Amino acid sequence: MWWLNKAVGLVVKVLLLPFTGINPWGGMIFISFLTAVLMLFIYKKTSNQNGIKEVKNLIKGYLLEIRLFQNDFGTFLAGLKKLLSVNVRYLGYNLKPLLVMIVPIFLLLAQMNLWFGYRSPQPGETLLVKVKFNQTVEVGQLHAEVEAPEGVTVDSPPVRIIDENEADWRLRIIDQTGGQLVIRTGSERYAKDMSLSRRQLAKLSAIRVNQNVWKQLLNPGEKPLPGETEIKQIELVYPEARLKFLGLKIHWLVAYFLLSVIAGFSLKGLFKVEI
Amino acid sequence: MRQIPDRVFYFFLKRAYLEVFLILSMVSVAEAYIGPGAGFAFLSSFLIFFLTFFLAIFSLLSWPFRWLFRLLRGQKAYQNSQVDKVIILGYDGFDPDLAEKFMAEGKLPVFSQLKKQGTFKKLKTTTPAISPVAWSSFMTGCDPSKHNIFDFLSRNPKTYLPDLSSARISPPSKYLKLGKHRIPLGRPEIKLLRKSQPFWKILGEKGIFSSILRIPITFPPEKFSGHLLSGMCLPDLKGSQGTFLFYTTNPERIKKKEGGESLLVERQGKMIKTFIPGPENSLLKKPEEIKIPLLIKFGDNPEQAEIEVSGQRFRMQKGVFSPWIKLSFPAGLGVKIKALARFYLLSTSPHFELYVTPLNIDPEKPALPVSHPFIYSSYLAKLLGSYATLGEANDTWALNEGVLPENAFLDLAYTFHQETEKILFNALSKTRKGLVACWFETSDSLQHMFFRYLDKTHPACQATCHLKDGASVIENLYKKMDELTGQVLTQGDERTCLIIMSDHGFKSFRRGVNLNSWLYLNGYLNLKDGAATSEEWFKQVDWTRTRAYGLGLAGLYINLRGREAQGVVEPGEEYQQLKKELVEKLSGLKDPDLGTAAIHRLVDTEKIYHGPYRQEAPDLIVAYNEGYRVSWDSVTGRVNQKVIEDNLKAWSGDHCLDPDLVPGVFFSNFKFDIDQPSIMDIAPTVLDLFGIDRPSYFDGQSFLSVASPAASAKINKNDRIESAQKTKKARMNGKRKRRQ
Repeated sequence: MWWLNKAVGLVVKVLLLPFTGINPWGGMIFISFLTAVLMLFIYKKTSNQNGIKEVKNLIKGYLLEIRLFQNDFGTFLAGLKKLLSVNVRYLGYNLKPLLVMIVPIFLLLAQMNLWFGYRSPQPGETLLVKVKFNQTVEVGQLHAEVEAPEGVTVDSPPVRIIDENEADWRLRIIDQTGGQLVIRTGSERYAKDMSLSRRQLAKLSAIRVNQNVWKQLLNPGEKPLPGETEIKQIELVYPEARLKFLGLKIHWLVAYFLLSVIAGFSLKGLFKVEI
Repeated sequence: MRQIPDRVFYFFLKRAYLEVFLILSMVSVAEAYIGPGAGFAFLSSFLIFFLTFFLAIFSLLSWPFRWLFRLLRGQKAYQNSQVDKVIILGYDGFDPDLAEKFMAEGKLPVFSQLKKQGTFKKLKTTTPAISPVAWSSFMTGCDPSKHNIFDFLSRNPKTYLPDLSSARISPPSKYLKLGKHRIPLGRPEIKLLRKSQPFWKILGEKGIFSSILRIPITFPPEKFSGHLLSGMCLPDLKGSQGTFLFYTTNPERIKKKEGGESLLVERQGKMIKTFIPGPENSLLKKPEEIKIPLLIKFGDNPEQAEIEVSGQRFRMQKGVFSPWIKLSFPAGLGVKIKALARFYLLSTSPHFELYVTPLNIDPEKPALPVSHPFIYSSYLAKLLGSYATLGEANDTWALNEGVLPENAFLDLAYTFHQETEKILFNALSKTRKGLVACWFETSDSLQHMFFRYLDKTHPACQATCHLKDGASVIENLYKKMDELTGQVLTQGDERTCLIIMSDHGFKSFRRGVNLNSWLYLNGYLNLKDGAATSEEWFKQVDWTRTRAYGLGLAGLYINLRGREAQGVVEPGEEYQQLKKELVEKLSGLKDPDLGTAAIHRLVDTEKIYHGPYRQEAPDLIVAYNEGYRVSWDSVTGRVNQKVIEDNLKAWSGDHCLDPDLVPGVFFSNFKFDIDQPSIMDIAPTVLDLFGIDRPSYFDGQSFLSVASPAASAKINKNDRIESAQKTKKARMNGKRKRRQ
């Protein structure tokens, strides 16, 4: 799984590299446009284009029928029934492309979350590091320490949350050098990437997980922890990033959704895709 | 009354909340996939769900208000109605004599049963017996002088040139100039020239809904309470009544084609690059034809070709029609004019030949209004697929000019026929009460083109009769119409009155009379000095020395001073005297070759027309004898030395002769005790059936006012007619049994 994540991560990194020095909207627009093209291509190849066209015409037809026969209640209701039934057919036609597209989109979204989901903390800001341990470890008895990278200080002793089997530390940013954060438990050392950047668009891996496949898919930024460890995951609680537009702070997923849909809609005619 | 809508309203509101909840609950799933493909589709789908519920709620809430509105307007629809539904099937040109012949031979079981238990009569047509005239009289209940349609063409007295009699399209009066373009400030004026009002407008005012499908002379569509799809006289995208395209690499086949355009193309290796000429671009300061590229590619199979046009690529098989292909003509400034056409590959070697139907206005995105309401044409296209919109879609000229083979013409005509059938059955299924009227062109155009197979002595037979089973084309047509009638009958019940009617009958058209040549040879029409022929549209006619001229299919005009631009005949005595002279000389005009009378009589329109538009009528109407009609040259204003000549075209049957010789048909499942019904009687009869008084200006009379009480009859699903009494008896028995 790590190799797949690494490969997809590399592709996304190459794509976004030219946009790291500028406003994150640049990268967002570019990737939305690119995925719109890719998804349109996949959609065209995997869907029943004639069926979709036919069903869409029927949907429009029944909508017009409802309008045209609004004074005849029987015909009006029959039109509504047909409209709903045809709409279900339309949804059915979308299942196959949905199943095919869900794989690349899922991988892509997980990668995009690394780039657009968080922002690098500024000097003076604090952030938590949360370490979750396996059930076999007694957190209350455990001696654990954090070694912060250069430019970061450990601001507090560990807070142990017994119910969650978790130990948390507060870190303070002195400067944005970044590096590796190390958790020491006895003789064991577990590293966690703590990249800090002055750039407007940077890849930040918030969580390093264990060998769980599902968790690896959702958190593809780092190589998973070794198999037989006492730690389940290490999380750096970076501040969340928002894209600014006319005074609004927009979640990247919303922006991506809107932009990719607009791009897809605009380009569907060019690529002759029936959506 | 208030509780029911409220309850339903809350039901739908709850459903709407449920939908919102479902969507919100799916957000986590949506996060896993949000993109332009399926995501967009899902979004639209949910939008449709919402829209559906919104429409349902809106309709439910507004229902009481609409009901109240109708009540306040005093509409008491169906209160005095004797029927719930009237279905009128207009089989253009359906001939009573042929129908009787085929009925006698047992080939038309449905019509035979209608004749036996309902009504079958010859239907008196209009003078002249021409479709636009007769159908206008059908819908208005009036003679032509009240609806102003006297022919397909009317003449412009200022120019002596023909105009389309039914509609006039004028460009917008003001434009905003923008570089080489001009933006119209306003819409083009599309004016219906037919006067009076169709009876379905009167029905609508009384709250009775109508579906009027393809009935002639309904373009531009008029507003009324119902749905209408325009029919005959609706133009193609080029503004003509149908201009086909013929592409060929053979220079010998390039000549002027009536009703079409020939284009000589050159084969370059394995392809041909050419274009489709479209409508004139009125957005340009100097309007010019819009052309779109047409690419034809040839592969190894000599029976096939690949066509690329308007961003579409499709394979053509020789001798097979393509489906409707959507064409888009860019006019500039982002404006695109949409059309539909079907392609037919005639041959690939030794010469390439391709036929393209006239550019039909796309009903989905019509460049001109083709229906009322405007969305009705689009609704039909979305639901039933693309269909022909051209008023007379069956391309008779392509067959007449030898471009389209006979079997291809039949194939095309029956495809259009099926489209109309689909539209009709859609309307029948949606109209529980009211009027459904539908016109079928096939019966007219097939008889025009295949009558020569029934008339062995027809001059065109030897040269044009190539079809093996040509003699059965018309018989099969009548059988098909019989079958359709049976299917329609199953859609009704004892409260449904079915009327099958035609505007005229048919006779063989063997010889053409060039009326203008006769006028020329007899000194009534003169050519300019030195001219031997007049050329098309009276080009060489000296109007200052011309007293009379013929234009259109039956009209004869006097060059009257004060009315015509260069009129020479004084109104009053001279005018009357000239008319009298022409009537005397032309009535019974002998065919010098055969010795028979070519012209039966001439009708002085002053004596038969009394309506407000009688001034627009021809002065005399020529009623030709059986076997004769006005010649092709005379219609287009060509004068030569020959008065009567053989008709050598495939167009071999006609009805532009004495109206008494070509009555239409009238069938009904109701028993009407009538003697000589007229096409003008249909409108008052339908009004009467719905319990509406006949307007005083109508010329027609209701069948009910002269008939014994209507005894209804119906045909069950096995196409068996049961009399109303049987039905009534069965009902009574049922009631008695229930009581017991």
